[in-house]
Amino acid sequence: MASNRFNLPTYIVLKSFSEYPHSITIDIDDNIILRKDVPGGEELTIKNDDYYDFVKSGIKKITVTWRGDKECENKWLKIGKIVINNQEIRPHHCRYMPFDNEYLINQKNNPIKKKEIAKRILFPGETYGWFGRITYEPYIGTKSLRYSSRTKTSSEIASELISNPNLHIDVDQDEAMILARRKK
Amino acid sequence: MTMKVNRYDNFTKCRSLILGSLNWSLIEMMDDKQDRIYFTEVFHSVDETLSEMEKVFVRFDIEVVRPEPLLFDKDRPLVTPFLTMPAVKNSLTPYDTFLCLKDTVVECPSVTDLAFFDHVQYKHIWQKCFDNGSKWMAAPIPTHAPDQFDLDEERTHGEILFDGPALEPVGDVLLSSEKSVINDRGRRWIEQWYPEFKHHTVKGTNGHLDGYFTILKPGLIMSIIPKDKLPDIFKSWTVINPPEASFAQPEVANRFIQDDDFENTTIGVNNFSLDEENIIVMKHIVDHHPNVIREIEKHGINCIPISYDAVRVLGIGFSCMTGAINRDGQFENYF
Repeated sequence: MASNRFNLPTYIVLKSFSEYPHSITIDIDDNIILRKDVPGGEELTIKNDDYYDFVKSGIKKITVTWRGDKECENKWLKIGKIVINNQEIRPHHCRYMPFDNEYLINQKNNPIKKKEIAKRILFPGETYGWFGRITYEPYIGTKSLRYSSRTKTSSEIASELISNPNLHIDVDQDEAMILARRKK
Repeated sequence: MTMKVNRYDNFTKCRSLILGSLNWSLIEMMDDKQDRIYFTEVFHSVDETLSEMEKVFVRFDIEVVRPEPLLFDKDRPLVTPFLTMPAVKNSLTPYDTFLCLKDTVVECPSVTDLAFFDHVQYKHIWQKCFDNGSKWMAAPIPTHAPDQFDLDEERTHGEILFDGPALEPVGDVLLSSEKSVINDRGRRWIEQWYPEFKHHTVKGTNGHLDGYFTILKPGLIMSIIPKDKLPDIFKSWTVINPPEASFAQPEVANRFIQDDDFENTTIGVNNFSLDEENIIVMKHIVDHHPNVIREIEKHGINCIPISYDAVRVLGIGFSCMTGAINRDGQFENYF
């Protein structure tokens, strides 16, 4: 039976700038929920304030893809806020995967630079300077369901064997982790 | 003899501990090439953190033992009657599936079914402790059968389940999480085996206790739970609250003018006490929250910073990565 238990308010706000035209796409599990083309030289705030039906419990992949045809030094993307079901996913709790560019490729041969870049990627903060993908993989469901692998895909299981993703959005707001409770 | 279980708290002088190891072979499980590249970077970074931690432990005369990761073999899935998994869990979190309490190590019936075979990576450690006179037991082995789950989604009344960090001894007191990481039968099993402790449930906790607070020394606790929500026994204690306010700004407009790395600086309570005067904390906390560090140091506790860039990727703190086997503390009344 269909349930609206996982139809949750999903608020995402971000801001971007580049000297040249660029685009931003937000998708959840490959379903595009927002796409914006941003003109060059303009700061633009982009907001998604809507309900999204996550359908069932599990690890969900929220991806912000930032693309541009032309590279320049003066460009940035800031993730302002992600709030699902009145629980915040902190912007820096992401996986940042920059697209290869000339600068990154050139640095790969220098061990010191390579390490610096790795640090920026693993510990990125909320502002991103290279075009790429920023992904969040929260578990959405009840805390108890989370501990069973019966509802998980094989890639979710693989990921959980390696790490312990601590992004958790509870469908019951009263059960939300204290520090995660936020209004949009 | 330090490789002998003695644990009554998380703050007295630590003599021996397990420090987690990375199971590099697990990266082979990932289908996506980008994921494999990314996690290789993550593991390199964590490896440096672990080395740094080990150096500090050795400097403090703490005996360090490591788990032996069971390598991933795609042709050998791990199977129980109700569960098939491709590999054993990463051996990075020794604290999760074992409970060292008094003179005994308890192999825990973890709420996480994927931790079912975790114990194979630690056998050599507990054998050594056993040979040195420690007691060693396992709680009833869970089935993780569907009927246990379907009838009881919240897992309140099902088979005995609990994780190691769902319980924290403080001398003669044993604190426990309220739910999710321990259930009713799990709590009763613990109370049955350890009737000598005064048992207190920390209301409102639905995760591991080390994610909610660190007891720094008798009378001093760092906690995200406000003082009035902690068990009454903490009434006379000093509570240091991490700066929760820094997690979110009221207006996004203001957020955009914050320092770029502002959000990297959320303080964690998931630290590790070497003794009552020394604690290891994440370096970015020292860098970005000097006031909290000063507050801790005001109480005579030295904060030793260790770089840990991959903390957000792994969701694992210092406390999870270390499992104390032997501390000086005894069955005392700290309240």
